[in-house]
Amino acid sequence: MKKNSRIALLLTTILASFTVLAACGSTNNDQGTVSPKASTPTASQSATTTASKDKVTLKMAIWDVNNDFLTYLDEKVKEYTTVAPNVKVELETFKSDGDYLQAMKVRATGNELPDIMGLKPNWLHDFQEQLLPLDGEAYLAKNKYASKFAIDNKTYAVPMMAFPELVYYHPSIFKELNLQVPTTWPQFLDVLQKIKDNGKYTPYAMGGKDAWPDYPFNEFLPQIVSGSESYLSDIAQDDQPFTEGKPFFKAYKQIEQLYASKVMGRDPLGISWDQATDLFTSKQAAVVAAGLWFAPTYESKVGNIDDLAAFPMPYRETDSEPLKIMMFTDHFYGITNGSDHQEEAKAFLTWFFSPDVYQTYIDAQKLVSTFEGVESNVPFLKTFYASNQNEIFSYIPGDSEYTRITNAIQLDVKAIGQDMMTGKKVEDILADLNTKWAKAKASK
Amino acid sequence: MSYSLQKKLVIVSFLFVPVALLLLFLLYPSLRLLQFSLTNWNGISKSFNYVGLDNYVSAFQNPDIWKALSNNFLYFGIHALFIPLEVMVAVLLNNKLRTSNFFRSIVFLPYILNGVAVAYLFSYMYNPINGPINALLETLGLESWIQNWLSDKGIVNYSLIVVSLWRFSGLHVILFLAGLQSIPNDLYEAATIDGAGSWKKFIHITMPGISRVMEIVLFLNVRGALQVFDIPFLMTQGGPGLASTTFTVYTIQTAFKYNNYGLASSLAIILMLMIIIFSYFQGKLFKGKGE
Repeated sequence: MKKNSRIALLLTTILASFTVLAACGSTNNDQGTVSPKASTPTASQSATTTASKDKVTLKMAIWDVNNDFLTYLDEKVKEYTTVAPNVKVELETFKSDGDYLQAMKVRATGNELPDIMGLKPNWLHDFQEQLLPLDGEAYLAKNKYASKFAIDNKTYAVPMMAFPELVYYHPSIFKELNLQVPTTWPQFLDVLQKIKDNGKYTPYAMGGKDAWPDYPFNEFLPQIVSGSESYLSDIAQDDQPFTEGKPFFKAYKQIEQLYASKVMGRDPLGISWDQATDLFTSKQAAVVAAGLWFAPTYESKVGNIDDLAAFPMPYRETDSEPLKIMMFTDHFYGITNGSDHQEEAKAFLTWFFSPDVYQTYIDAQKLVSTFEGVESNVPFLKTFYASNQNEIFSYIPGDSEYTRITNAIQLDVKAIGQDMMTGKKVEDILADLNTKWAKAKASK
Repeated sequence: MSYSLQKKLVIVSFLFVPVALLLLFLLYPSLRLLQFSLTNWNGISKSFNYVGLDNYVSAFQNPDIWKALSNNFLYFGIHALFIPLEVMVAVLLNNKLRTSNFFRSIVFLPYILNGVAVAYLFSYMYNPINGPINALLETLGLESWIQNWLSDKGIVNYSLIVVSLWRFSGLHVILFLAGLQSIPNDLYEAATIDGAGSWKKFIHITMPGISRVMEIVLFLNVRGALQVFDIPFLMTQGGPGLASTTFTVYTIQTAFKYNNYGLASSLAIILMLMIIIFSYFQGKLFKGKGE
């Protein structure tokens, strides 16, 4: 009896194994490959191009925190059917870039990426293998930023919007306390100190609990202080990029001064970004640094932008150096090379980037246009540019070597910012980073 | 068809579905996990290289991982310290109090609540702006006790462990209660006749009576402490810096934030082994005493 049940169990296991293996068969055929499904254009693609009247559904995915924008985009892509009656564009939207990235990573492993996908500049290297080079497309010549993000001289995605990084303030508070807009780092610290001394307002609204709100300092300052747009890729060639005297060290000492002056309220690490912006919008805090994307948020919370103004991040030590303004490009669109409808996707992007369509896109975003010949209608920005004609400094993410090293040592500059807010010394942090960096760089 | 063949056929066909499901959803992913743990796969790329045991070596050499693990042990230790208290509460609730049913439900309630809701609830409690805990301390004139509950590196882990205790102690109490109720009353009656006091009864009847439950609770504690994830992830994202990062939070971030699926897979395997080893030794230790 015992023997019988053992035989039965064995038979069942074998049968079940066959079923499972058959189900997973596609991934078991070749070693060392996640999924062997061909990623290059296949016969089906050429079939669709020849029989162009076949019904085609293009899948497109993007994230945005702004619901109104997502609603606009969903409506807009539907209009494409009037241009190409056989093509239907299905838009999938995500509220946060984190959720979006996670979903896309999972789909990339299963060859299930949408035909057209949105990207952030720092994801381009990760998804390069999955993207189709867009070189030769007419719209590339008109995009002001796309070429800056080329990888090995190939452009894989086109940025749809850009925004300057600003320091927002309440002019009424500056007037009340008789403060001037700072243009150098010492002036900036001085202004915040004066607001602190007055005692009525929290000088700077830092949502340190979320880590990311320290990015205007901990992420962007070393880059802009270095003066080189390719700074991140450059340090991937350096064994000790955090040594004293180098831009990273210099910038972090500046940030240390800011954090040590305790101008961010009693517990900056205890409050989130939402709470910090509530402090700012309710005029309990005087200053906050963020991208232009914050202005619409402020307007929706307060109802107007009468008591909102901005100045460029005054990172320089003296007035003798030029003051550049950090410009972040975002919402890159690319075509995935696993798509069965690459020609239709290319045609769609040509329509999508055409001036008439693009104008509505950038107006819905309320950000800066990336295409020549199209200007966005953002009153706040116009006022800002009227008094600030600074040279643009583009945020360019690090190359693949930089990504490799930072992933290997799990470098999170925003978490380092949190450490600095708790009082950890820059010298200690950077000495440790130098050691880790050199080791990771050597272990290629 | 002979009777025995028919019998076999029935057994095979009945077992087929559960065994297939087990292979598909348990064995196959586990083997893939093991496979990935030997590679440098970044989670996106179409190809990867085998790197042998490199991931395991770098996991053991990484001080951040040890730091995360020490946070897990803090959860384990403090939860373990609370087990005697949980037993006491269970003994109290086992008595025929008039309101014991009400208290039993109350004690179990935190465990039923959604983990995400609990995390948000306590984030609010610890909030430095208008947070109820600080407000209470202020009302009581204990301003000097006010702390940066979630942003002070020396305090944040204890703040989070309090949440974990609040959430899981109730489950342990209910399990102990079930154990207590399974002890036949005549044992106590016989002990009373023999002249045993309540302490003797507790040591010689109650404790051995709930030894099975104790084993389960200790296993749950090891598993829970090593896998603790939702509370730190939702309340502090492991911050400030890495101060409240636990092993699982570190694993998740290795995989999804730093695109290192190879290392993350090896961490998952290490976690699995740790749970098995700890549970085994704990079981041995307890069996030696209890039986």
